[in-house]
Amino acid sequence: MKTGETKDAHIHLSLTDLKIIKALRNGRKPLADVADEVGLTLSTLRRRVQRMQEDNAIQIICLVDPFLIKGHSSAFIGFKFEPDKIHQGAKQIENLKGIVLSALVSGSYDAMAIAMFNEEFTFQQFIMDEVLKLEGLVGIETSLAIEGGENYQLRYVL
Amino acid sequence: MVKLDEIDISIIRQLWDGRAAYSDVSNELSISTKTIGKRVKEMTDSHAAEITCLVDPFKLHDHGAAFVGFKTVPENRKEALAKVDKLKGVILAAIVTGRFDIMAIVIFNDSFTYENFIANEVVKVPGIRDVEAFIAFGGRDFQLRYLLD
Repeated sequence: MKTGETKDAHIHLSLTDLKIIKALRNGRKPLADVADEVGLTLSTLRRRVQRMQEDNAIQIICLVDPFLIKGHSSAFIGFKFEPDKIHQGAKQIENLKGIVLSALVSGSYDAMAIAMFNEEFTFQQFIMDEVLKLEGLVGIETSLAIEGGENYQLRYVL
Repeated sequence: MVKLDEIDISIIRQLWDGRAAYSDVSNELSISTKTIGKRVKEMTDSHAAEITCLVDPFKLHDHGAAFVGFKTVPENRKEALAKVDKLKGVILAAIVTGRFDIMAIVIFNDSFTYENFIANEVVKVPGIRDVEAFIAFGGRDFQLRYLLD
């Protein structure tokens, strides 16, 4: 993962790859059906899917609505870093417990993330044990999710 | 509304690889494959869970994504969420505490730009007072559902 990062950053998916991704909206669709839909042989399709997974370009996964799990909650978090610590800080965020996804962003925050909590890993623990580890952190702002839309489904990271 | 139990969560954890064979999940959890299939169907039918393919938009040509915060008039929040949720490009959205009332993640590309999103989509939502975008530059764990045509 670490060594591949710079290399992976430049891998671009083709239109065929995008067709595959769309066909895999149902992540358990038999690959033979996907191959038919996109007009590839099964072995070529398999190879492409595997390559995209290895490159961290795609992930086929079961997402879940945290509002439907007892004792769980989630939040959007905005992070602000000292100017020379932004990239390093954003990298560290990816490794914090509870982080569902994160990205460097433009605007009034430097990085944003979605995080997930439960009774064993509370929001307070997330802040005290995880966020305060971040070097060069200037401030954070939390927007706790209180009602999700129909598509509010996240990777289960706890 | 269904609530998920411990067994459902253990199945979801095993399906971190969404294509894992139910027979392997069954062995791992000591639950019959029939029960696993039934539970997964119930969860996905009720939109509690979805097994799908996520993609890093920054590995696609001419694609981008943003976190977008909306401020709404207070009495419109729920209605606004329902509308925002259905806008083209919106991957997920939720009502939140703090300086925004709704936060969303939006994906765009060269034929559906961020400007198109603001000009053609956000205007469909009544009661929006302000919109702030945080354009994403990518991250290792930034993978989203692909919801554009």
